[in-house]
Amino acid sequence: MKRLIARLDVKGENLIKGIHMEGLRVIGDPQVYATDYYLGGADELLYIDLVASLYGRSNLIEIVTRACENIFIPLTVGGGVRGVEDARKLFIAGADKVALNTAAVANPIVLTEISQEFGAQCVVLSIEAKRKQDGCWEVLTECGRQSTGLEVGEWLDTAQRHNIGEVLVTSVDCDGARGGFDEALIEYACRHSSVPVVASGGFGSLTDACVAFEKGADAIAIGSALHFKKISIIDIKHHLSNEKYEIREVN
Amino acid sequence: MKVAVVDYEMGNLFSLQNALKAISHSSFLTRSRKEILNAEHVILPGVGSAEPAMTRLRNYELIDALIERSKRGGLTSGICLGMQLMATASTESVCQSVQCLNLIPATVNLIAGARSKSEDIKLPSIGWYKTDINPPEGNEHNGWLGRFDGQRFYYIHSYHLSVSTQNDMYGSYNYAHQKIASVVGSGPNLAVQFHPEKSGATGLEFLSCLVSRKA
Repeated sequence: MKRLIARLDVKGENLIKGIHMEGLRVIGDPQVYATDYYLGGADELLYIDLVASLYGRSNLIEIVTRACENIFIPLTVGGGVRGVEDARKLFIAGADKVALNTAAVANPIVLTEISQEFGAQCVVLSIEAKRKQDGCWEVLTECGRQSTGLEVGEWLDTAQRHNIGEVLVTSVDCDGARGGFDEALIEYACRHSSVPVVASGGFGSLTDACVAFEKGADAIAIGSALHFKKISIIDIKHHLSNEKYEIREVN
Repeated sequence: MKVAVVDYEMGNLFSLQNALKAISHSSFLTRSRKEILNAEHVILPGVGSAEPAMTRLRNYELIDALIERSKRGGLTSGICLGMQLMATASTESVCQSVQCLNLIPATVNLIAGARSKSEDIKLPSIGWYKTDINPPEGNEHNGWLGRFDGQRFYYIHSYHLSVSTQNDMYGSYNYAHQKIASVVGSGPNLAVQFHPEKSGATGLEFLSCLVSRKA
């Protein structure tokens, strides 16, 4: 069964969106959009604070607390999560899963620490992947600002030796452009993963959803196509249903 | 009605309390033996794994309270890990079997046949799965539980319950080519593998029925 996740990138208290993770543009109040997506049939919500690791702080706790008051679907939260105590605060605020990128690359043991404390299903490995000249993908950290020299497949193999529940793969090259997912990246990541994979970055049209699932993704995360009202959740789900994918129907 | 939610520091308590509020039930967090024994309804939530959970329940001296409540016929509902803790034992531990509450005769094991790098079968099982709910004939939960037959609820777990008595299994969903226990019950205890507080409007409706059920 496949899932459709609405992705909300935030900075401070605002919903924002960039292209290739740059040129961040303020869109509005994340709570208004999140509520809309919940009522519109999203299966989960994904909040990523794009500047938390840059500024060393975030409004995520306030955003999640507000969301949990009237939104009753799972929330994954990431951006600046450094370890067990950051995770704990987010779980207390109502998050169901935490996504880690920068902190995990710096010290993969943090994945085990969080999963031992809260369960592996709560730990999402977030990968920001950028295509290199040789056709492979490099892992970036700090929301696309920092090069690591790490190859995506190699990093996936390392990270899965720790107990994780899910992988979120974002294509930096396709992010925000609404020109389609990086299909080869999705296929590659799925081959290297024995936990569910969420594909993110590039969704722009109905057919993109099917492509991601064909390549092995278990879920797709959609940002700008929803925020800029290019397409609705109900349309995507109807399309997936027609294409015989098992998806939670929208009433 | 005030619902007592067992607080052993594991579980998405804030979301659960918000969900209860949304369906007009007030709730309070508790670690008190007296409150657990006397509450009209107790929810045992849980996110995480069995071994640390049982350790915390033991440290907070809640194991006896929950067992005593059950003996007295007090209604208790388990959610996700809470469901698994109501079983007899769990193999979710590095070294040995973890003794659990034994409120519902059952064992907890890793979902078999998974982690095979095949596309279908990954762990954890994550998704909104169609749930078959069919309590046995004459079962007191038949009325309200049966209404949710075929509905989708949100699951996220790698371990699952196998009941010792088939009649204690009221509902299941299909994953990894097997029936996974979704709803189980024994005496005053009823438990669900899915998260009703995270399953949208259907989940809230289920939660409302769950805490309003009579003995």
